[in-house]
Amino acid sequence: MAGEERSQQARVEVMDGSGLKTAFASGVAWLGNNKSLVDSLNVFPVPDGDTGTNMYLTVSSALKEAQKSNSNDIGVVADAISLGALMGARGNSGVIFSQLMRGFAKRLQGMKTAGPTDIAAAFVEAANMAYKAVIKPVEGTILTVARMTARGCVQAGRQHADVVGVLEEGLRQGQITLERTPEMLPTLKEAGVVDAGGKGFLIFLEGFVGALKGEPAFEPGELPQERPAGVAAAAAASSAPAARASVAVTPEARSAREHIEFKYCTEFIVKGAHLDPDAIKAAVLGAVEGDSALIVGNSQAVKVHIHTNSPGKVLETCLVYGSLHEIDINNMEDQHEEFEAKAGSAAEAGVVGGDPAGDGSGSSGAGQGTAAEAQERPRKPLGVVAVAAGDGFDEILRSLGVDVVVTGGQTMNPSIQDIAEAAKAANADNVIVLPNNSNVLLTAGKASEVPDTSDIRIGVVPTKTVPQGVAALLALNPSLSMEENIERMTEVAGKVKTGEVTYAVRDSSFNGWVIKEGDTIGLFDGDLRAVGESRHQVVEELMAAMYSENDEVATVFYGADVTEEEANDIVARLQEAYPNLEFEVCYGGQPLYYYLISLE
Amino acid sequence: MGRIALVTDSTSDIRKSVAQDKGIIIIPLTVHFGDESYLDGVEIDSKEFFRKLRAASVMPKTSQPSPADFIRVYESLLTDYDHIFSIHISTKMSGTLQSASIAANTIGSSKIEVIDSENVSLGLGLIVMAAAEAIDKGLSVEDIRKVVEHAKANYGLYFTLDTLEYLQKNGRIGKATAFIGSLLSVKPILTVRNGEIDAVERVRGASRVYPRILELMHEAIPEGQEIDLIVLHADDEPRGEQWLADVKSRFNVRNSWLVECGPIVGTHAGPGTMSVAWRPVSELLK
Repeated sequence: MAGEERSQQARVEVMDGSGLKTAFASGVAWLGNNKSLVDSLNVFPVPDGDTGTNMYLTVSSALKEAQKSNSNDIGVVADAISLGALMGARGNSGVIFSQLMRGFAKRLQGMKTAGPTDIAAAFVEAANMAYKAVIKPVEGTILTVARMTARGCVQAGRQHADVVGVLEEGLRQGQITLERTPEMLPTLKEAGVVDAGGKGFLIFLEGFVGALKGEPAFEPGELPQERPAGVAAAAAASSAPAARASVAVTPEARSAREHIEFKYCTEFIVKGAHLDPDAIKAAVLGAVEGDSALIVGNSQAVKVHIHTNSPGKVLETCLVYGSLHEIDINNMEDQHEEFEAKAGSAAEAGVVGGDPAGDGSGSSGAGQGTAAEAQERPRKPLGVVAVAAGDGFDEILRSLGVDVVVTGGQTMNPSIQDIAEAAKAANADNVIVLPNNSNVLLTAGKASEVPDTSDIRIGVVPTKTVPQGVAALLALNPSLSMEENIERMTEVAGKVKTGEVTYAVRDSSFNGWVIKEGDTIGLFDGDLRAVGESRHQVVEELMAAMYSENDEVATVFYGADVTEEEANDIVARLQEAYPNLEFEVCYGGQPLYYYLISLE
Repeated sequence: MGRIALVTDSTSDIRKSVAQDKGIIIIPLTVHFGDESYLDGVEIDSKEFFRKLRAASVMPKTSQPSPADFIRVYESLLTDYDHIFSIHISTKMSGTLQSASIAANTIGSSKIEVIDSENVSLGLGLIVMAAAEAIDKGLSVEDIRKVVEHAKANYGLYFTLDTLEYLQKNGRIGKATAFIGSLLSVKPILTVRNGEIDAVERVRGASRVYPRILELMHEAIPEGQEIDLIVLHADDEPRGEQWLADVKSRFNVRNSWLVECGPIVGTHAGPGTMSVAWRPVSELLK
């Protein structure tokens, strides 16, 4: 069984905090290298497949939090991972992952080290927690994969496997389950893909186990060239498997909050020819005192990450080897203040955007006060946060009473933390969140769990599209309680039909439609209803699918990629075809989606 | 048991004929078009007002009655009546009640009872009509007061406007400020709450306003409850009649009135205003 082929290796009987950190970092790195593969597994051929990216950003945030912890207790590190995952969770898969981590940490709470059966039990608790968090659990998704992985772990644990053996058997059963996901979910089968969330989870686990085995199985292709905004330094630092990383954590457990011995988190990439990561590591550690050093890479690029009080010396030392890039030096004592400041600047954005003219004209900022004043202003009873992409929608939503618009939706799902910060910036006792995207629903629901928002009541109106969000806002009444508003807004949002016109990112077939890459496609409440080469034709076919006799008002929001002329032309034709409908054309400015149509 | 008089002001939008019939005395406010001034309901009626409004290049203004206007009326009434109920537009919208109070204090008679309706237009009208009925029934001053309090506490009112511009320009927008500045074309549904204009919600498309108001009424009025009803229109009698007939067909309506939006309310609400208000029938009036 598992472990036999590793007979030459020592058994890993227990895992401690640093072991977990190292393995977790390797999982993050491996997922980072493969995230576009996961992204491509989206069922619908809409250009917003981002499951892999979302999961990667989530685990990166978890890792960042874990690396802040100086404890060697597995329970403490797991707790940090759980908190970090919660703060950084993006998208459905990210939120589910954060709940997996929550369960994992719950089982390991208070433990210094964990043996094989503890690890197996933690995976079981992880799956249980994730099932509980999802309102309607669907089999054939990451949930099933996580549950079967846990089952594999438990079985191996009963057969006295070591930690690696337990995880390998879990991974094996997880893989088998993943292959079967198309059988469980017909939509996966039709799209010819396995579940993206499940795949992402197993890729992560592969990296995790790889590090524990200490095998150079996970050679990094190259260091990631792009660092998504908001992703922590530590995430990038771990882009090579930690199995090969030099981790020099000082042995004494110190409270980072009270006193930070090495203040400056210094990180950058050295680029050059024939680089030797080990030589650079030796040079850096010889030149300065520091901790949390993570110096990894290959012959062309080496990532340097170290906490030190002499960041200048680190830079000087490395200049000898090559050119420096993406230099990032942060005072870790500022981290707390930075968080506050971020919330503050979001508040300012919200206030300035409150300018009813929406033209950003001079008086808006002056009349409303600065971010600092916003913090001092008494909180209002009810605020609203909405998620949307596009400068047009930003203005429309603010004009309808939204305090803070969180950019995101189709292309970039905001994290729980993003939404929590926006809720704080709304400067209200009660905050209603409009996720406006099915991938953001869960994230929005978790915003109230961020400790920082404990003094704000956060409620969610489960809008799945921006037109639904717009409809919900019309029912918003600041004089009523949050609960009354949520009830009314939810009811109204449910009465709106949403049409989306975008393009296919790959060849595909769905519901009997044959779709070529680049085709214009029309979705009605998420279902594919029109495919064609011309936008005029797709809009007309989509409208025909959406229309029913009771409809009275149609609003066409045109995106960043089409002109006002085209939008007016299309709507003029629709008006001829549907003389009884009241039409309105509005600039939404949304990316990727040529048109969003609301019909009510 | 003496005779009891009832006074209100022209913002109640009670029809002249009804007022005469019920013996309700209406103190006019004044509407100004530039340098021209007209006593509401005396020198200008609703139709003439909206004709002038459409032609006017400047926005009309309104002014409250002076204390002297009230003193004249109260003094003449005191010779024939033992008690005066003087019920007026909300103090949050007009200084009319201020003038009435000064008048009552100047006269120094405990027989004059000035009441803040915390309402306006047909909402005020509903309260005044309840008082008129109570007086007509020969109820005691105390019971009439109860009827008025009941009406103040139990009314429902929705109105819609073509635009919030008039309310905003005239400073009467109250808590509906939240509805200003929408980039989408929406119709507001508003109410009067705690003496000022308050927002209810917004609706896309003019055709959907009335159906939504009906839904809101169904939520607010218990099945089968007996109500008195007023429907108001602004120079659109056919639509007013249509609303009235339709609401009457759906609810258990005892008394109902169709009224026109007068010049004072019209100045602040603008054309295109439609409204419906109701209250359950007080036990004292059954």
